Amino acid sequence: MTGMTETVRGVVRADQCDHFGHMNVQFYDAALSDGYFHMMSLIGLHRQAVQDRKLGIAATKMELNYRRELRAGDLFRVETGFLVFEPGRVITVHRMTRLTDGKLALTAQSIGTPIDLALRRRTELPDDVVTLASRFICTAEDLAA
Amino acid sequence: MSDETTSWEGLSALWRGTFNQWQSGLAGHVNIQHTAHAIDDARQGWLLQAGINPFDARSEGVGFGARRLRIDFRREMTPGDAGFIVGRAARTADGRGMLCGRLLRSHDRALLTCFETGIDRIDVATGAFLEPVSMPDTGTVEPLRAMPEVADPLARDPAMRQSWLGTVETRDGDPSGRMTPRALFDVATRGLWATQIEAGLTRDLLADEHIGSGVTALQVSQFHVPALGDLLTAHTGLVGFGKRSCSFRHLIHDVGNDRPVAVVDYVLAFFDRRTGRPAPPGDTYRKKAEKLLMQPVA
Repeated sequence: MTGMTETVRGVVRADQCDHFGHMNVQFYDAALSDGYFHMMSLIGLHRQAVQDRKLGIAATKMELNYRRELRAGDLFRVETGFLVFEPGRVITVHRMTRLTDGKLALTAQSIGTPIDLALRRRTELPDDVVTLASRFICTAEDLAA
Repeated sequence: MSDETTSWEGLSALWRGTFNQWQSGLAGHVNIQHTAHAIDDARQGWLLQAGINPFDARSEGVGFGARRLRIDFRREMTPGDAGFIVGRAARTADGRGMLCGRLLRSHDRALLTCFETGIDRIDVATGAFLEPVSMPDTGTVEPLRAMPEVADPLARDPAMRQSWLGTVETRDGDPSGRMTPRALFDVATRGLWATQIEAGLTRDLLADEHIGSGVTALQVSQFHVPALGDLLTAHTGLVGFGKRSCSFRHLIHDVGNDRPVAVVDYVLAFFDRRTGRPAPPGDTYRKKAEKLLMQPVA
């Protein structure tokens, strides 16, 4: 088990900021979405595999806890892991860190449901994906660290 | 793991992300402006790792950019691909200090893109380049293949067509209100399509002739970083044909202040859309594109 792993590293763009002078909430979600897809690529569900296997994991619930603001030009990192990864249910967690001072900027948790992309119906994740995902199982304590 | 990537393993990531559907260009793959943006983020990441906080530097009126950027695209990137950039400061064979980097695909470490970039300080008040960031020599890296030089890179050849005219919009700016590298590549991308279409190389013709194309190499020489609201123009011409490729050049100029902004050179490689394999563009393309052919280098 390796726990959470880095899935995004970048810089806040000026056009992602609102008139409050910080990154607008929609772009936090966009960064987590990028991190989520990055994680998918690490557990065997990269773009080509998703296309071939017609398999995805759709988010059904998400909770974000904003801790510190990010401003244009801030460097940040997202780390991603799984609290639960079962054939029928996935709980993903993200931690965003403001690299310019090392402070925690956000934590998030989402519940995902495997989906058959051909039938657009709920399905179950195969063993090979569950096995690969087991490397990224973490705990709630890891998220807060 | 590919042999191409071996020497880059073990370096810490300077950028990491996923390319999205909205980053796809008209050619169907991730547009080069988004690769350029990732490389710009990697520059900032390298600075932070080197102990230079770019966020703090900006509050002192100093931004960071690059007088020179050279990119080779090795594999097509498609929306949904996840990747990361690693890089090292190196003294290339020609003696320049550069950040040499590789964009690798996350799930199989396939090499997607190679690049070399300087990192130069910018006076955010004027957009002028200042002294380059001093880079420790952590080893020599085989330089990317040199792209063709043209005798006077700022001279506007009569065959060049105006391919773009517009202002630097808010969305094109960095936190200091200076034009981002991504926006510069956006101009070049639009300019390339405009030039081809005006020469009769329409998207319908390319589809009918089964001509696919993609940028395989580019080089940017930048002289000044424009500000929000600056009026820019691009002129584009054809440098020459290769066997299955051709090279275009854009001159991007700040009209209001009458000063050069950048020279952007592209190598555009052709393939047959039916097979996906490299193929010459054919006589129809060549005849129309020849109207844009610049004077050969003396």
